Amino acid sequence: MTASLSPLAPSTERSTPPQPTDQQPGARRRAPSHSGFSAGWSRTVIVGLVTALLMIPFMWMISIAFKGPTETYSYPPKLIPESPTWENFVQVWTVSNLSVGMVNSLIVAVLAVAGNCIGAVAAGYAFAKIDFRGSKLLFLLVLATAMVPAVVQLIPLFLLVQDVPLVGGNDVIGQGGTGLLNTHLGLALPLLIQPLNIYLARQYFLDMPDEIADAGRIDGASEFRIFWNLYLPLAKPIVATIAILSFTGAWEDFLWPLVSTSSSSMQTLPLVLSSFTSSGAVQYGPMMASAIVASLPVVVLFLLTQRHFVNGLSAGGVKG
Amino acid sequence: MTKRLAAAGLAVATALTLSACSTPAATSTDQESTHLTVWFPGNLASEIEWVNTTVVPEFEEANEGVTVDVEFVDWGDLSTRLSTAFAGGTAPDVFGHGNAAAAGFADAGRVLNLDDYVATLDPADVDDMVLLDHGKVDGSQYIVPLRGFGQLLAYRTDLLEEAGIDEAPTDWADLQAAADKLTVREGDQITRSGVIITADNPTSMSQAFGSALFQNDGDFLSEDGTEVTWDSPEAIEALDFLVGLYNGDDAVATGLNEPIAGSGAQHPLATGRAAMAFVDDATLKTIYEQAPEIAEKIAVAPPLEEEKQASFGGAGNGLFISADSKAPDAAWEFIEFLTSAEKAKEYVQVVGGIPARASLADDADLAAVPYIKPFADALPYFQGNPNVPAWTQLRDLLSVELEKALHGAVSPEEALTGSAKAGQELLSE
Amino acid sequence: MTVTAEDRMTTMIDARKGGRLTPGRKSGSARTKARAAGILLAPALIVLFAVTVVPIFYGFYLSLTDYNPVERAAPTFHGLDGYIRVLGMPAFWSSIGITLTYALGTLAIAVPGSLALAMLVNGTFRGVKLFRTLLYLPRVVSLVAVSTIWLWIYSRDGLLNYVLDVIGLAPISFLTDENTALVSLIVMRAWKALGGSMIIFLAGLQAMPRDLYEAASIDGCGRWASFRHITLPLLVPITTYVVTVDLIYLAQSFSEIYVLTSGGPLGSTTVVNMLIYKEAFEYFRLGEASSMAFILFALIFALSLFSTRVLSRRGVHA
Repeated sequence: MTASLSPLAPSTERSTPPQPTDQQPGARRRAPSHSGFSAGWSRTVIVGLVTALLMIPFMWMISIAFKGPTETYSYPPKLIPESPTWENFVQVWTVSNLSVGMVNSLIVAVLAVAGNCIGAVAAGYAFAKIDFRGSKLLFLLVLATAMVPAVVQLIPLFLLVQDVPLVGGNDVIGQGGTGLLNTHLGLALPLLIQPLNIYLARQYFLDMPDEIADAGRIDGASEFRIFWNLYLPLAKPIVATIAILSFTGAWEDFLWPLVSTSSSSMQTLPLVLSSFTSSGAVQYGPMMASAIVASLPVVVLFLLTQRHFVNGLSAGGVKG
Repeated sequence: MTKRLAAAGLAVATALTLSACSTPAATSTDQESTHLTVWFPGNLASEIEWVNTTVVPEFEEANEGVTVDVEFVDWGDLSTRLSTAFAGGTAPDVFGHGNAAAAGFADAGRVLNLDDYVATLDPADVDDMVLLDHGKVDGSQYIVPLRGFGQLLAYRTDLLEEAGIDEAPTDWADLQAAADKLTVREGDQITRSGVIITADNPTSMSQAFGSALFQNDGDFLSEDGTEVTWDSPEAIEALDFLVGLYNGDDAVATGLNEPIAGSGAQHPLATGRAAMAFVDDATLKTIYEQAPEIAEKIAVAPPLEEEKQASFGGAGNGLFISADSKAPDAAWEFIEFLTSAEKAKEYVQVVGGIPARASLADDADLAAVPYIKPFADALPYFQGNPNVPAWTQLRDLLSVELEKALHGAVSPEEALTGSAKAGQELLSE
Repeated sequence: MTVTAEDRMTTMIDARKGGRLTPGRKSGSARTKARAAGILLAPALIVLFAVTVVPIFYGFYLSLTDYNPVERAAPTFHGLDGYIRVLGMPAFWSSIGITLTYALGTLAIAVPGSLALAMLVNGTFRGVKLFRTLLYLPRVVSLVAVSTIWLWIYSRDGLLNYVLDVIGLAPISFLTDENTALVSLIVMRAWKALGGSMIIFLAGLQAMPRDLYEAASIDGCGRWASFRHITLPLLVPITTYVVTVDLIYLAQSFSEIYVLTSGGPLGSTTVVNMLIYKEAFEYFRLGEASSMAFILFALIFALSLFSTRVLSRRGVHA
């Protein structure tokens, strides 16, 4: 199979200059748009300044997370706490169910990442690269579902999930029990396929040249092989992006877990932490500490996926 | 292929939709053990801890065979959860909510009439539970208040002393005069307000208006709840007084819409941006927690008396029993347990607010708490919102106009007569 | 350019050959394509249909009724009454205007801003991974917590007024003056949106064909010219995505506004979704709330279509 695809090789590799495998700032062969910066440092300084400016609100979040209640909003404002304390973090750390919430959120998020990286990416590809009748209209409908405010769907979805047959004590017609409410799958259901991820994948594949598919078809490769062997390896940055987006989406989802869980053992992280992050709370220190704690896993994931961005770089030159 | 898929999808969806439209059957009850689910509103860490480590274990020990599962639901999410739970038939046995929700839930038949249960209490206890009457809709008990709340005038003793005022204001003229002395201006800007009302948002403005309205012997609605009376001459006079505090050459206040409730160290009383302020007990509590040194210089005055001595307040949050509860007797046991003298005291010690029992006003432990005592003393003077089902909508109609009037965009008379007309239409619907 | 007979012959032979290998090539290919599309789309569409489309249709039905989840009575069908009532509310129309201003104002800052950030961190230089992560952070952190920080930044004794005080300027009532409240919200929201859009643009930039830039630089194109004539046109699909998605999110904003202004002062920041929540969860009038939601949906849909058209036309002309 691979051998029969060999005529493709030149078209994917032809335009790709060898990429630097190390992070040497001085390495050549970067896109000429940055060629103005001969060394890495000047750029580091500029980007550093911009980042610092944008980080100001965030720095205050961190600052308040380390301040006691009497110092929180002292005037004039002091970024560095006079008597820094871990108390807020301890309070968050010792909240009952923190680990349970983390695990539940993780399970739901992994389900959401899997669903989107497989289902949404495949669908996005089909919309972008395969001509079939009604493609445009179908895509528009998919996109439209993302535009309906959540309030409309909340109660109908609740009733649907409650009445899934044969689970959660339900009979064949979905009566008698709680269905998929208060289960991981039930929590993940509305997140498994996010229409906006289909959209993102479609936009990305649209940007990739049709010649790859044409060459594959001439070679007799099946449509599925063309997707799997030819396009998907080149789409790593977007798969990584969709992974981050669907993880973040599941991680911060609040409304659905709020109404669909009924026991503390199924609560997701935002619910567990809602006693700190809720709008009515006045516990600023614990609120900021909990926000920081909750965002750490996403930051870790982001750092991990950065590798795929670099990989994506070396596959980036497909168009030409 | 696609056609077949579409057909299959449609079949699944139809099945799901059909089943979604019917109500779920009753859940089975275990004869030997009773399980209670309880939703508490709020997110106070101290309250959560007290309920989970004290209330529930003690109650379960005292009532063999009853297990209790308590969940805390933030105020902002409570209605969202209740509406899905009502729709799906999964409402908890006992749930807490604001007193204002009683009429609506009672009207829809979602909560139990508790008259028969209250009748089983010792009459002396019923007399002691002064807030019970606030939880009645058309004369019947639907909610059992756990604590009260109220708005009173708080002032900075140091700033009043500085201005040579030795007594707290007792009526509007007093208040105006004191505020005039206390106001500090820089050019045409007020840098220190003489007095501010609760004006974070339209809803709190309606509470501030309520205080003035009651003090002027007016009311929102007629006694039978069928007629809007917030456009009476007394009401217009009351609003005129409040508007005068913020507008015109003799304005003594600034900072409309600034979020101050629960802002603790950022509260204008704490920062010194206001010398006097109408505060509720919870706001004062956060000032004590976040700015303890300044809080010591804050004193609280008894309710003002214009035509009558009164202020906005009354029953705060309380507990309902769901009409669908399979174990209403055990649910009532739980409520009774929480409203016992002992637990009522613990509750305000943990959460703050006004104790639900009159006998606790003189309790030595509570009297020592500066953000409880003055409010507990003022309990007889507190008056609340009318218990009618449409009150939240009526209040919103009113408060939008109150905000405009306070900003000087419309006259008090225009604001009140206009909103009263719309309110009357809604009430008559 | 003339096609010789021989050429034509070979083409025909090729076609014949092809024809034999895959019978009825043209139509057969369409059918295999449709089947492939079906297989690739099925998982996503089945899930979407069950958990999104069905609830939406049910919700649409509710929008034609007086549904109130607290009432026990079954919803009464009243056709378009709910829509007519909503469209007759002046407060609803003003909230539409505010929603549009909020969404478009935020977009106007966030889209160019995040593209600029993406270009800044597209490349390899010291600390680039750290910068990307830091810039993405605001997207990750709880919106309520972030809003609470900005509430303080904007407050009378907050950071901004402190800075104004230090440089000797009069304080500004950012959130409590009806002339500045919405703008202040927009600035905050744009800040929050920057990081998320940045990584989308970054993914797009990573796919840019390097050789095009090289050719451009050999041709003596400046950096602005290559940005204008290569980057921008190639980024049109991604930009369309960013604009549409931000639009969808922004038009449904709620929690940040709830924290910062609760819709005030004088209703100057009351967006449609605040009215929807009020109808649904304060008054429990879910029927009417759904009517509002579907009108908002129509607005978002129209705006997205419009922006897609405009952007793709730009792309062609560029």
